[in-house]
Amino acid sequence: MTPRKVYEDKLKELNKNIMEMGQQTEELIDKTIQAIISHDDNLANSIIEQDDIIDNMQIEIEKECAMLIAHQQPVAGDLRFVISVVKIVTDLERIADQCCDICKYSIRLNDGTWTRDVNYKRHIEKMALGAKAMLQEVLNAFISKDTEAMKKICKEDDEIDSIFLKIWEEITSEMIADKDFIQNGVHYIMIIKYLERIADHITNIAEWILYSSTGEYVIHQQ
Amino acid sequence: MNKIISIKDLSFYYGDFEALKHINLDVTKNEVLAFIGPSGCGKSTLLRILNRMSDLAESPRVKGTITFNEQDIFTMDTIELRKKVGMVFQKPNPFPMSIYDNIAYGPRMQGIKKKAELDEIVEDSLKKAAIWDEVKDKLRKNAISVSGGQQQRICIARSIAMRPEVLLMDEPTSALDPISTSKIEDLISELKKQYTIVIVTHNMQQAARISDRTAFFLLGELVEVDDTQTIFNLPKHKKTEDYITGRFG
Repeated sequence: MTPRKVYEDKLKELNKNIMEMGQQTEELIDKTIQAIISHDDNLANSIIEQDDIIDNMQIEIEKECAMLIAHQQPVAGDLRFVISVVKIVTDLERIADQCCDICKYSIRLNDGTWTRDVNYKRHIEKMALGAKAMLQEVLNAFISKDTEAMKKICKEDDEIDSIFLKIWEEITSEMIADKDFIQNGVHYIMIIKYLERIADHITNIAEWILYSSTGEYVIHQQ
Repeated sequence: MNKIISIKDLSFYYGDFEALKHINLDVTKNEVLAFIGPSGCGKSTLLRILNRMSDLAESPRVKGTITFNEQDIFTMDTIELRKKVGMVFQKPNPFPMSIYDNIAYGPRMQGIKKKAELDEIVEDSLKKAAIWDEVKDKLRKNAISVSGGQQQRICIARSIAMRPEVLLMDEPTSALDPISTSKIEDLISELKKQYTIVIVTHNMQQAARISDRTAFFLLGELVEVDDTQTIFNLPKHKKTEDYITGRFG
C-alpha cells in the first residue's frame, strides 16, 4: 500500500468532482447559446432552474477542501491544488449565474416587442462559442497539465474583449438610430457583458490552474 | 549573512557506515533552522555532531570541517563547545533534584557560588524559558514532579543558564501533548531573538510553523535547504515534495 492512500484517494475524488462541475458548466454555456440563438424560452427557463445544481456542487466541493485541509494538512503542490479548487469553484459558480442572467434577458427579448432579426446575433454566437471553447481548452489543459496551453488561454480573453467592444458599438449605433430598439438594445448589451464576464472567469480558472501546476502567481497580471 | 556555524564537506561514519555524505551548510545567527527527513537520514547525527555529542558514538569518524564562530569545533575543548552550543533532547531529562538545583547545576560547575548570583541566573533562565510564573513558588520541589511540558521547559532553562549562543533541539516536543507543544513552539519563536536554534523535527507542520529555514535530508545527504516558505510551497526537488506531502518516509 502506498503511504497516505486515504489522502491520495481524497485528492483524486476532489479532482474528479471539480472536473464534473467544469463539464456541467460547459454544458450550461452550450445550452445558453442554443437558448439565445433559437429563442427557446423553455430551454432558458430550464437553465435558470439548473442553477441550484451548480450552487450545491460549489458548496460540496468547498466542504471537501475544508475537510482535506483540516484532516490531511496538504502542503506544497497539494495545497496549491486545494486552494486553486476553492477559487475555481467560485468562478464556475459565477459562470453558471451569468448563464442564468443571460437566459433571463433572452426571455425578455422574446416578449414580442421587437421581431426584426438583428445582424450582430451571429457575433453574439461567435462570442459565446469562443467562451465555451475557452472553457473546453481549460478543462483539457487541466487534465493534461499543459501549462503552455493555459498561458495561451489567458491571452484568448483579449479576443473575446475585442468582439465585445465591436458588438457593443454596433448595438449602441442601432439604439441611436432607432429609439424603438433602445429597450432591447439594453438587453443585448447585458447579454454580451455577461459573456465577456464569463470569459474573464475562465481566464481566472486558467490562472489558478497555472498556479496549482507551477506555483507561478499570474492572477491579475495579464 | 551572519554565519555562526559553518559546515564544509562533512562526512561522518559510524565504523564503516557513512551516515552523512559531503554536507555543506551554514547556520545563520538568530535563525531557527529545522532539519527534516525520514528516520535514518542523518539529521539527528548532524545535530549531535554540532556539539560533539557524536564523540560518544562507537568508533566515530569525521571528514570535513565544522566551525563555530570561525573556530574549528573538532579542536575546541568539548566543555567549552557545549557551554556555547547547548542541547535539548526528545524526552525531558531533568536531574532528580530540585527545580532550582537543576538550573543552578551548570553555573555551579562553572564556579559560581554566590547565592544572589545563582538566584538571578535561575530566575532569568526560567523566565526566558517561559516557565517562571508556573514554578516560582515551588523552586525547591523535585523537577521530576512537574508535568512533561514543564520538565521540558526546565531543561531548556537549564541550557539557557549556561548562556549558550546556539540551542540544539532534538525533537523537543515529540513526547508532549499539544498544549505543551504550542508553549515550546511559542518559546522557540521568543528565544530566537537571543539565540540561534537548530531543531530536528518529524512534525512537518511544526517545521513550517516555527523555522526560518528548513533542510531536508535523505540517506545521509542534504537534498535541499531553503527558506521554510519555499520548502513548504514550492520545493525545488521532487524528493522534498514527496517527503513533505507524506508520499514516502
